[in-house]
Amino acid sequence: MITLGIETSCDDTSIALVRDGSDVLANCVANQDVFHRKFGGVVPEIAARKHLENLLPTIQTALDMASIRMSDIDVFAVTHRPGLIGSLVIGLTAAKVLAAVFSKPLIAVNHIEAHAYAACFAGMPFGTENISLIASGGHTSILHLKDDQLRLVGRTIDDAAGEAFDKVAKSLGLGYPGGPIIDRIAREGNPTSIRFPRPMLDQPNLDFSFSGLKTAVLYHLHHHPDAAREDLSASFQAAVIDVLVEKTMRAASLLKVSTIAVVGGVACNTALRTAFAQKSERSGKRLFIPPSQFCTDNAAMVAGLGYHKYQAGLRSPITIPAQSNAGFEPEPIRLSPSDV
Amino acid sequence: MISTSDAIRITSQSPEQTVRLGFLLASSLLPGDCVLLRGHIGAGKTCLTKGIASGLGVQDISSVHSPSFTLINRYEGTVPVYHVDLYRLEIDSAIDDIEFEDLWNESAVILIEWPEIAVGRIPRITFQIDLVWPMLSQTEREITISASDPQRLEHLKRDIDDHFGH
Repeated sequence: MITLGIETSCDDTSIALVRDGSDVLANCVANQDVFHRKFGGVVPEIAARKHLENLLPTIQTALDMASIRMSDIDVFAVTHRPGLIGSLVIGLTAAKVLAAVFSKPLIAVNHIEAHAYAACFAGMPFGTENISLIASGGHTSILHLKDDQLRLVGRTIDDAAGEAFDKVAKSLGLGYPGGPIIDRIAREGNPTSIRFPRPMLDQPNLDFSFSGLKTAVLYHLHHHPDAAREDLSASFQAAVIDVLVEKTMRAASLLKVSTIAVVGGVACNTALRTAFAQKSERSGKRLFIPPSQFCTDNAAMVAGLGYHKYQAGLRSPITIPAQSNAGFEPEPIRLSPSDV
Repeated sequence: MISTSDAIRITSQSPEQTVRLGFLLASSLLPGDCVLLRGHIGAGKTCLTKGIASGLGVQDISSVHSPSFTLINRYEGTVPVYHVDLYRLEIDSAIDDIEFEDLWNESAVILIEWPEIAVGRIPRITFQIDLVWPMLSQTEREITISASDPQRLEHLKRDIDDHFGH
Protein backbone atom coordinates (compact mmCIF):
# COMPACT_ATOMS: atom_id res chain seq x y z
CA MET A 1 0.00 0.00 0.00
CA ILE A 2 1.42 3.37 -1.03
CA THR A 3 0.90 6.57 0.97
CA LEU A 4 1.67 10.04 -0.32
CA GLY A 5 2.63 12.40 2.50
CA ILE A 6 2.42 16.19 2.37
CA GLU A 7 4.09 18.42 4.96
CA THR A 8 3.92 22.24 4.74
CA SER A 9 3.57 23.34 8.38
CA CYS A 10 6.49 25.77 8.42
CA ASP A 11 9.08 26.69 5.81
CA ASP A 12 9.84 23.37 4.08
CA THR A 13 7.64 21.93 1.36
CA SER A 14 8.00 18.18 1.62
CA ILE A 15 6.44 15.32 -0.32
CA ALA A 16 7.08 11.65 0.37
CA LEU A 17 6.00 8.29 -0.98
CA VAL A 18 6.11 5.47 1.55
CA ARG A 19 5.19 1.83 1.03
CA ASP A 20 3.50 0.07 3.95
CA GLY A 21 4.43 2.75 6.45
CA SER A 22 8.17 2.19 6.58
CA ASP A 23 9.65 1.68 3.12
CA VAL A 24 10.54 5.22 1.98
CA LEU A 25 10.43 5.36 -1.84
CA ALA A 26 10.93 9.14 -1.99
CA ASN A 27 11.29 11.91 0.58
CA CYS A 28 11.69 15.24 -1.22
CA VAL A 29 12.15 18.56 0.56
CA ALA A 30 12.08 21.93 -1.16
CA ASN A 31 14.00 23.94 1.38
CA GLN A 32 13.31 27.66 1.68
CA ASP A 33 16.33 28.58 3.83
CA VAL A 34 17.81 30.64 1.04
CA PHE A 35 14.76 32.91 1.06
CA HIS A 36 14.58 33.26 4.83
CA ARG A 37 18.30 33.51 5.51
CA LYS A 38 18.49 37.25 4.92
CA PHE A 39 15.70 37.84 7.42
CA GLY A 40 17.24 35.59 10.09
CA GLY A 41 14.06 33.61 10.39
CA VAL A 42 10.94 32.32 8.69
CA VAL A 43 8.79 34.98 7.06
CA PRO A 44 5.24 33.56 6.97
CA GLU A 45 4.11 35.32 3.84
CA ILE A 46 7.15 34.22 1.89
CA ALA A 47 6.74 30.71 3.31
CA ALA A 48 3.13 30.40 2.14
CA ARG A 49 3.89 31.70 -1.36
CA LYS A 50 6.88 29.42 -1.75
CA HIS A 51 4.82 26.42 -0.69
CA LEU A 52 2.38 27.24 -3.47
CA GLU A 53 5.20 27.50 -6.01
CA ASN A 54 7.03 24.40 -4.77
CA LEU A 55 4.18 22.02 -4.13
CA LEU A 56 3.37 20.60 -7.57
CA PRO A 57 7.00 20.39 -8.79
CA THR A 58 7.94 18.60 -5.55
CA ILE A 59 5.09 16.10 -5.96
CA GLN A 60 6.28 15.45 -9.53
CA THR A 61 9.87 14.97 -8.39
CA ALA A 62 8.77 12.45 -5.75
CA LEU A 63 6.65 10.50 -8.25
CA ASP A 64 9.53 10.42 -10.74
CA MET A 65 12.03 9.29 -8.11
CA ALA A 66 9.80 6.44 -7.01
CA SER A 67 8.58 5.64 -10.56
CA ILE A 68 5.02 5.81 -9.34
CA ARG A 69 1.91 7.27 -10.95
CA MET A 70 -0.58 9.35 -9.05
CA SER A 71 -3.22 6.69 -9.69
CA ASP A 72 -1.05 4.11 -7.83
CA ILE A 73 -1.42 5.99 -4.56
CA ASP A 74 -3.75 4.40 -2.01
CA VAL A 75 -3.83 7.01 0.77
CA PHE A 76 -3.16 10.76 1.00
CA ALA A 77 -1.70 11.85 4.34
CA VAL A 78 -1.12 15.46 5.31
CA THR A 79 -0.14 17.63 8.30
CA HIS A 80 -3.09 19.76 9.40
CA ARG A 81 -1.76 21.07 12.75
CA PRO A 82 0.18 22.74 14.34
CA GLY A 83 2.06 25.32 12.27
CA LEU A 84 1.76 28.57 10.37
CA ILE A 85 -1.84 28.70 9.27
CA GLY A 86 -1.14 30.08 5.76
CA SER A 87 1.42 27.33 5.15
CA LEU A 88 -0.71 24.50 6.53
CA VAL A 89 -3.70 25.49 4.40
CA ILE A 90 -1.74 25.04 1.18
CA GLY A 91 -0.64 21.46 1.89
CA LEU A 92 -4.01 20.52 3.36
CA THR A 93 -5.96 21.90 0.41
CA ALA A 94 -3.72 20.03 -2.03
CA ALA A 95 -4.25 16.77 -0.13
CA LYS A 96 -8.02 17.27 -0.05
CA VAL A 97 -8.17 17.92 -3.78
CA LEU A 98 -5.99 14.90 -4.62
CA ALA A 99 -7.98 12.61 -2.34
CA ALA A 100 -11.24 13.82 -3.88
CA VAL A 101 -10.05 13.61 -7.48
CA PHE A 102 -8.61 10.10 -7.11
CA SER A 103 -11.36 8.93 -4.72
CA LYS A 104 -8.85 7.83 -2.09
CA PRO A 105 -8.92 8.32 1.68
CA LEU A 106 -7.58 11.48 3.32
CA ILE A 107 -5.69 11.16 6.58
CA ALA A 108 -4.83 14.40 8.40
CA VAL A 109 -2.14 14.00 11.05
CA ASN A 110 -0.65 16.06 13.86
CA HIS A 111 2.86 17.33 13.06
CA ILE A 112 4.11 16.59 16.59
CA GLU A 113 2.82 13.02 16.45
CA ALA A 114 4.44 12.64 13.03
CA HIS A 115 7.80 13.79 14.43
CA ALA A 116 7.49 11.18 17.17
CA TYR A 117 6.72 8.55 14.51
CA ALA A 118 10.04 9.32 12.79
CA ALA A 119 11.81 7.16 15.40
CA CYS A 120 10.37 4.18 13.46
CA PHE A 121 12.74 5.13 10.61
CA ALA A 122 15.56 4.42 13.06
CA GLY A 123 14.21 0.91 13.62
CA MET A 124 11.85 1.45 16.56
CA PRO A 125 8.86 -0.89 16.14
CA PHE A 126 5.63 1.07 15.66
CA GLY A 127 3.68 1.48 18.87
CA THR A 128 6.64 0.87 21.22
CA GLU A 129 6.10 2.61 24.54
CA ASN A 130 8.67 5.39 24.65
CA ILE A 131 9.70 8.80 25.86
CA SER A 132 10.12 11.15 22.89
CA LEU A 133 12.04 14.38 22.99
CA ILE A 134 10.82 16.62 20.18
CA ALA A 135 13.15 19.58 19.77
CA SER A 136 12.98 21.97 16.84
CA GLY A 137 12.67 25.65 15.97
CA GLY A 138 9.03 25.75 16.98
CA HIS A 139 8.67 23.01 19.59
CA THR A 140 10.48 21.56 22.56
CA SER A 141 8.45 18.91 24.31
CA ILE A 142 8.76 15.59 26.10
CA LEU A 143 6.02 13.13 25.19
CA HIS A 144 5.15 9.75 26.59
CA LEU A 145 3.77 7.29 24.06
CA LYS A 146 1.85 4.45 25.69
CA ASP A 147 -1.01 2.35 24.33
CA ASP A 148 -1.21 4.51 21.19
CA GLN A 149 -1.77 7.59 23.36
CA LEU A 150 0.67 10.48 23.23
CA ARG A 151 0.83 12.44 26.48
CA LEU A 152 2.63 15.76 26.78
CA VAL A 153 4.60 15.52 30.02
CA GLY A 154 7.06 18.41 29.60
CA ARG A 155 7.59 21.41 27.37
CA THR A 156 9.34 24.73 27.09
CA ILE A 157 7.80 27.58 29.03
CA ASP A 158 9.33 30.23 26.74
CA ASP A 159 11.58 29.73 23.69
CA ALA A 160 11.98 26.49 21.74
CA ALA A 161 15.49 24.98 21.72
CA GLY A 162 15.92 25.57 17.98
CA GLU A 163 14.68 29.13 18.39
CA ALA A 164 17.39 29.70 21.02
CA PHE A 165 19.98 28.37 18.52
CA ASP A 166 18.63 30.79 15.87
CA LYS A 167 18.56 33.83 18.18
CA VAL A 168 22.00 33.17 19.63
CA ALA A 169 23.47 32.64 16.14
CA LYS A 170 21.91 35.89 14.99
CA SER A 171 23.31 37.76 18.01
CA LEU A 172 26.76 36.30 17.33
CA GLY A 173 26.48 37.43 13.72
CA LEU A 174 26.68 33.84 12.46
CA GLY A 175 23.62 33.72 10.18
CA TYR A 176 20.56 31.51 9.72
CA PRO A 177 19.59 28.78 10.38
CA GLY A 178 21.46 28.82 13.67
CA GLY A 179 21.48 25.09 14.50
CA PRO A 180 23.84 23.72 11.84
CA ILE A 181 26.11 26.78 12.06
CA ILE A 182 26.56 26.55 15.83
CA ASP A 183 26.97 22.76 15.59
CA ARG A 184 29.86 23.25 13.14
CA ILE A 185 31.57 26.17 14.89
CA ALA A 186 31.21 24.55 18.31
CA ARG A 187 33.44 21.66 17.22
CA GLU A 188 36.37 24.10 17.24
CA GLY A 189 35.49 25.51 20.67
CA ASN A 190 35.80 24.53 24.31
CA PRO A 191 32.39 23.67 25.79
CA THR A 192 33.60 24.23 29.36
CA SER A 193 35.18 27.64 28.73
CA ILE A 194 32.07 29.57 29.83
CA ARG A 195 29.76 28.16 32.47
CA PHE A 196 26.31 29.14 31.24
CA PRO A 197 23.28 28.29 33.39
CA ARG A 198 21.42 25.00 32.96
CA PRO A 199 17.88 26.40 33.15
CA MET A 200 15.16 24.43 34.97
CA LEU A 201 17.48 21.53 35.82
CA ASP A 202 16.79 22.01 39.52
CA GLN A 203 13.01 22.36 39.03
CA PRO A 204 10.78 19.45 40.04
CA ASN A 205 9.15 19.05 36.62
CA LEU A 206 10.00 18.04 33.04
CA ASP A 207 9.71 21.53 31.57
CA PHE A 208 12.35 23.55 29.76
CA SER A 209 13.27 27.24 29.59
CA PHE A 210 15.77 28.68 27.13
CA SER A 211 15.03 32.39 27.42
CA GLY A 212 17.34 32.89 30.43
CA LEU A 213 20.15 30.99 28.72
CA LYS A 214 19.83 33.22 25.64
CA THR A 215 19.99 36.23 28.01
CA ALA A 216 23.13 34.84 29.68
CA VAL A 217 24.84 34.46 26.29
CA LEU A 218 23.93 38.03 25.28
CA TYR A 219 25.18 39.35 28.62
CA HIS A 220 28.46 37.53 28.26
CA LEU A 221 28.83 38.78 24.70
CA HIS A 222 28.18 42.38 25.76
CA HIS A 223 30.96 42.27 28.34
CA HIS A 224 33.33 40.13 26.25
CA PRO A 225 32.72 41.40 22.71
CA ASP A 226 35.90 39.71 21.50
CA ALA A 227 35.09 36.32 23.02
CA ALA A 228 35.86 33.51 20.58
CA ARG A 229 32.69 32.57 18.74
CA GLU A 230 33.81 28.95 18.85
CA ASP A 231 33.95 28.91 22.66
CA LEU A 232 30.69 30.83 23.01
CA SER A 233 28.94 28.47 20.61
CA ALA A 234 30.35 25.35 22.26
CA SER A 235 29.48 26.53 25.77
CA PHE A 236 25.96 27.60 24.81
CA GLN A 237 25.37 24.34 22.98
CA ALA A 238 26.67 22.31 25.93
CA ALA A 239 24.16 24.03 28.23
CA VAL A 240 21.24 23.29 25.89
CA ILE A 241 22.32 19.66 25.47
CA ASP A 242 22.80 19.09 29.21
CA VAL A 243 19.24 20.19 29.91
CA LEU A 244 17.66 18.31 27.00
CA VAL A 245 19.46 15.06 27.83
CA GLU A 246 18.99 15.29 31.58
CA LYS A 247 15.26 16.05 31.49
CA THR A 248 14.57 13.35 28.90
CA MET A 249 16.46 10.73 30.92
CA ARG A 250 14.65 11.89 34.03
CA ALA A 251 11.29 11.42 32.29
CA ALA A 252 12.27 7.89 31.24
CA SER A 253 13.37 6.84 34.68
CA LEU A 254 10.41 8.47 36.41
CA LEU A 255 7.84 6.87 34.12
CA LYS A 256 9.84 3.61 34.02
CA VAL A 257 10.14 3.62 30.24
CA SER A 258 13.07 1.77 28.66
CA THR A 259 12.95 3.31 25.16
CA ILE A 260 13.92 6.86 24.23
CA ALA A 261 13.35 8.63 20.91
CA VAL A 262 14.98 11.93 19.97
CA VAL A 263 13.42 13.72 17.00
CA GLY A 264 12.91 17.19 15.48
CA GLY A 265 15.44 19.42 13.75
CA VAL A 266 17.61 19.85 16.85
CA ALA A 267 18.14 16.06 16.83
CA CYS A 268 20.47 16.64 13.83
CA ASN A 269 22.96 18.23 16.23
CA THR A 270 25.99 15.94 16.33
CA ALA A 271 26.97 16.73 19.93
CA LEU A 272 23.40 16.08 21.08
CA ARG A 273 23.35 12.70 19.35
CA THR A 274 26.64 11.73 20.99
CA ALA A 275 25.48 12.89 24.42
CA PHE A 276 22.25 10.89 24.16
CA ALA A 277 24.10 7.80 22.93
CA GLN A 278 26.49 7.89 25.90
CA LYS A 279 23.85 8.62 28.49
CA SER A 280 21.38 5.99 27.33
CA GLU A 281 24.07 3.32 27.10
CA ARG A 282 25.11 4.08 30.66
CA SER A 283 21.55 3.85 31.93
CA GLY A 284 20.60 0.81 29.85
CA LYS A 285 17.93 2.54 27.75
CA ARG A 286 17.24 1.79 24.11
CA LEU A 287 17.76 4.91 22.01
CA PHE A 288 16.33 5.71 18.57
CA ILE A 289 17.42 8.83 16.70
CA PRO A 290 16.42 8.86 13.03
CA PRO A 291 18.79 9.95 10.25
CA SER A 292 18.83 13.73 9.79
CA GLN A 293 16.44 13.72 6.81
CA PHE A 294 13.73 12.31 9.12
CA CYS A 295 14.57 14.69 12.01
CA THR A 296 13.91 18.00 10.25
CA ASP A 297 10.44 18.61 8.85
CA ASN A 298 9.72 15.90 6.28
CA ALA A 299 6.74 14.22 4.68
CA ALA A 300 7.98 10.64 5.16
CA MET A 301 7.00 10.83 8.82
CA VAL A 302 3.56 12.13 7.78
CA ALA A 303 3.08 9.33 5.25
CA GLY A 304 4.34 6.71 7.72
CA LEU A 305 2.04 7.81 10.50
CA GLY A 306 -0.81 8.30 8.02
CA TYR A 307 -0.48 4.68 6.90
CA HIS A 308 -0.82 3.39 10.45
CA LYS A 309 -3.78 5.69 11.15
CA TYR A 310 -5.41 4.35 8.01
CA GLN A 311 -4.80 0.77 9.15
CA ALA A 312 -6.37 1.66 12.48
CA GLY A 313 -9.51 2.79 10.64
CA LEU A 314 -9.10 6.56 10.77
CA ARG A 315 -10.54 8.63 7.90
CA SER A 316 -10.46 12.44 7.92
CA PRO A 317 -13.46 14.38 6.63
CA ILE A 318 -12.90 16.67 3.66
CA THR A 319 -13.97 19.54 5.93
CA ILE A 320 -11.12 19.08 8.42
CA PRO A 321 -9.57 22.51 9.11
CA ALA A 322 -5.93 23.59 9.45
CA GLN A 323 -5.14 24.62 13.02
CA SER A 324 -2.16 26.58 14.28
CA ASN A 325 -2.10 25.05 17.77
CA ALA A 326 -0.98 21.53 18.64
CA GLY A 327 -4.14 20.55 20.50
CA PHE A 328 -2.25 18.67 23.21
CA GLU A 329 -3.31 19.37 26.77
CA PRO A 330 -0.21 19.19 28.91
CA GLU A 331 -0.20 16.61 31.66
CA PRO A 332 2.56 17.96 33.82
CA ILE A 333 4.54 15.51 35.87
CA ARG A 334 5.56 16.68 39.32
CA LEU A 335 8.78 15.22 40.57
CA SER A 336 9.62 14.58 44.17
CA PRO A 337 12.77 16.33 45.43
CA SER A 338 14.64 13.03 45.42
CA ASP A 339 14.17 12.78 41.63
CA VAL A 340 15.88 16.11 40.97
CA MET B 1 4.03 55.57 19.06
CA ILE B 2 3.23 57.48 22.22
CA SER B 3 5.24 60.29 23.78
CA THR B 4 7.16 59.14 26.84
CA SER B 5 7.37 62.57 28.50
CA ASP B 6 4.85 61.74 31.26
CA ALA B 7 5.86 58.12 31.46
CA ILE B 8 6.18 55.88 34.50
CA ARG B 9 9.79 54.79 34.94
CA ILE B 10 10.61 51.68 36.94
CA THR B 11 13.69 49.57 37.51
CA SER B 12 13.02 45.85 37.79
CA GLN B 13 15.69 43.87 39.62
CA SER B 14 14.67 40.42 38.42
CA PRO B 15 12.48 38.48 35.97
CA GLU B 16 10.15 37.72 38.90
CA GLN B 17 9.73 41.44 39.56
CA THR B 18 9.00 42.05 35.87
CA VAL B 19 6.31 39.34 35.98
CA ARG B 20 4.85 41.01 39.10
CA LEU B 21 4.75 44.38 37.33
CA GLY B 22 2.86 42.75 34.46
CA PHE B 23 0.38 41.26 36.93
CA LEU B 24 -0.19 44.72 38.39
CA LEU B 25 -0.57 46.31 34.97
CA ALA B 26 -3.25 43.77 34.07
CA SER B 27 -5.61 45.25 36.67
CA SER B 28 -5.66 48.48 34.61
CA LEU B 29 -6.54 46.69 31.37
CA LEU B 30 -10.00 46.48 29.81
CA PRO B 31 -11.32 44.36 26.94
CA GLY B 32 -10.30 46.04 23.69
CA ASP B 33 -7.05 47.43 25.08
CA CYS B 34 -3.77 47.03 23.25
CA VAL B 35 -0.32 47.03 24.86
CA LEU B 36 2.88 47.41 22.84
CA LEU B 37 6.04 45.81 24.24
CA ARG B 38 9.25 47.21 22.81
CA GLY B 39 12.79 46.13 23.53
CA HIS B 40 15.63 43.98 22.23
CA ILE B 41 16.06 40.22 22.63
CA GLY B 42 16.42 39.44 26.34
CA ALA B 43 14.87 42.74 27.53
CA GLY B 44 12.00 40.94 29.28
CA LYS B 45 9.05 41.31 26.90
CA THR B 46 7.87 37.73 27.28
CA CYS B 47 8.33 37.92 31.08
CA LEU B 48 6.12 40.97 31.25
CA THR B 49 3.60 39.28 28.98
CA LYS B 50 3.47 36.28 31.34
CA GLY B 51 2.65 38.65 34.22
CA ILE B 52 -0.05 40.47 32.28
CA ALA B 53 -1.64 37.21 31.12
CA SER B 54 -1.59 35.87 34.66
CA GLY B 55 -3.22 39.09 35.92
CA LEU B 56 -5.90 38.68 33.24
CA GLY B 57 -6.81 35.30 34.64
CA VAL B 58 -4.85 32.98 32.34
CA GLN B 59 -4.42 29.93 34.60
CA ASP B 60 -1.52 28.10 33.00
CA ILE B 61 1.30 30.62 32.80
CA SER B 62 3.70 28.07 31.34
CA SER B 63 1.48 28.08 28.23
CA VAL B 64 2.42 31.74 27.72
CA HIS B 65 5.51 31.30 25.56
CA SER B 66 7.15 33.13 22.73
CA PRO B 67 4.97 32.99 19.59
CA SER B 68 7.98 33.73 17.35
CA PHE B 69 7.10 30.88 15.02
CA THR B 70 3.32 31.00 15.08
CA LEU B 71 3.24 34.83 15.42
CA ILE B 72 -0.01 34.85 17.41
CA ASN B 73 -0.96 32.90 20.53
CA ARG B 74 -4.42 33.11 22.09
CA TYR B 75 -4.99 32.44 25.78
CA GLU B 76 -8.27 32.21 27.67
CA GLY B 77 -8.39 34.41 30.76
CA THR B 78 -11.26 36.40 32.19
CA VAL B 79 -11.03 37.99 28.73
CA PRO B 80 -9.38 36.47 25.66
CA VAL B 81 -5.72 37.49 25.43
CA TYR B 82 -3.87 37.69 22.11
CA HIS B 83 -0.07 37.51 22.30
CA VAL B 84 1.42 38.73 19.04
CA ASP B 85 5.14 38.62 18.19
CA LEU B 86 6.19 40.36 14.97
CA TYR B 87 9.91 39.63 15.42
CA ARG B 88 10.13 37.63 12.21
CA LEU B 89 8.24 40.01 9.98
CA GLU B 90 10.37 42.18 7.74
CA ILE B 91 7.70 43.61 5.49
CA ASP B 92 4.46 44.98 6.88
CA SER B 93 2.34 43.48 4.09
CA ALA B 94 3.16 40.10 5.65
CA ILE B 95 0.78 41.07 8.44
CA ASP B 96 -2.11 40.28 6.08
CA ASP B 97 -1.06 36.67 6.31
CA ILE B 98 -1.66 36.37 10.04
CA GLU B 99 -5.23 37.70 10.21
CA PHE B 100 -3.95 40.68 12.17
CA GLU B 101 -6.90 42.90 11.19
CA ASP B 102 -9.40 40.40 12.65
CA LEU B 103 -7.99 40.79 16.16
CA TRP B 104 -9.42 44.26 16.61
CA ASN B 105 -13.07 43.25 16.21
CA GLU B 106 -13.08 41.05 19.28
CA SER B 107 -13.28 42.29 22.83
CA ALA B 108 -9.92 40.91 23.80
CA VAL B 109 -6.71 42.30 25.26
CA ILE B 110 -3.97 42.44 22.62
CA LEU B 111 -0.28 42.31 23.59
CA ILE B 112 2.20 42.97 20.77
CA GLU B 113 5.93 42.26 20.97
CA TRP B 114 8.15 43.85 18.30
CA PRO B 115 5.31 46.18 17.13
CA GLU B 116 7.57 48.55 15.14
CA ILE B 117 6.88 46.96 11.75
CA ALA B 118 3.11 47.24 12.19
CA VAL B 119 2.96 50.74 13.55
CA GLY B 120 0.67 52.18 10.89
CA ARG B 121 -1.72 49.25 11.18
CA ILE B 122 -2.41 49.29 14.90
CA PRO B 123 -5.74 51.11 15.31
CA ARG B 124 -5.42 51.84 19.02
CA ILE B 125 -2.66 51.77 21.59
CA THR B 126 -3.53 51.85 25.30
CA PHE B 127 -0.10 51.41 26.84
CA GLN B 128 3.34 51.36 25.33
CA ILE B 129 6.06 49.69 27.35
CA ASP B 130 9.73 50.15 26.57
CA LEU B 131 12.11 47.68 28.15
CA VAL B 132 15.82 48.39 28.23
CA TRP B 133 18.55 46.12 29.49
CA PRO B 134 21.44 48.40 30.49
CA MET B 135 23.75 45.35 30.78
CA LEU B 136 24.94 46.41 34.21
CA SER B 137 23.77 43.12 35.64
CA GLN B 138 22.17 39.99 34.18
CA THR B 139 18.77 40.73 35.72
CA GLU B 140 18.23 44.49 35.98
CA ARG B 141 15.85 46.09 33.43
CA GLU B 142 14.63 49.66 32.98
CA ILE B 143 10.94 49.77 32.16
CA THR B 144 9.09 52.83 30.85
CA ILE B 145 5.29 52.80 30.62
CA SER B 146 3.44 55.46 28.62
CA ALA B 147 -0.25 55.71 27.76
CA SER B 148 -2.42 57.44 25.21
CA ASP B 149 -4.87 58.47 27.96
CA PRO B 150 -3.16 60.52 30.75
CA GLN B 151 -5.90 59.58 33.23
CA ARG B 152 -5.32 55.89 32.83
CA LEU B 153 -1.59 56.44 33.22
CA GLU B 154 -2.28 58.34 36.45
CA HIS B 155 -4.40 55.42 37.77
CA LEU B 156 -1.70 52.93 36.92
CA LYS B 157 0.94 55.13 38.54
CA ARG B 158 -1.01 55.10 41.82
CA ASP B 159 -1.39 51.30 41.68
CA ILE B 160 2.30 50.89 41.09
CA ASP B 161 3.26 53.30 43.88
CA ASP B 162 0.98 51.41 46.28
CA HIS B 163 1.93 47.85 45.38
CA PHE B 164 5.22 47.66 43.55
CA GLY B 165 7.87 47.81 46.26
CA HIS B 166 11.52 47.82 45.35
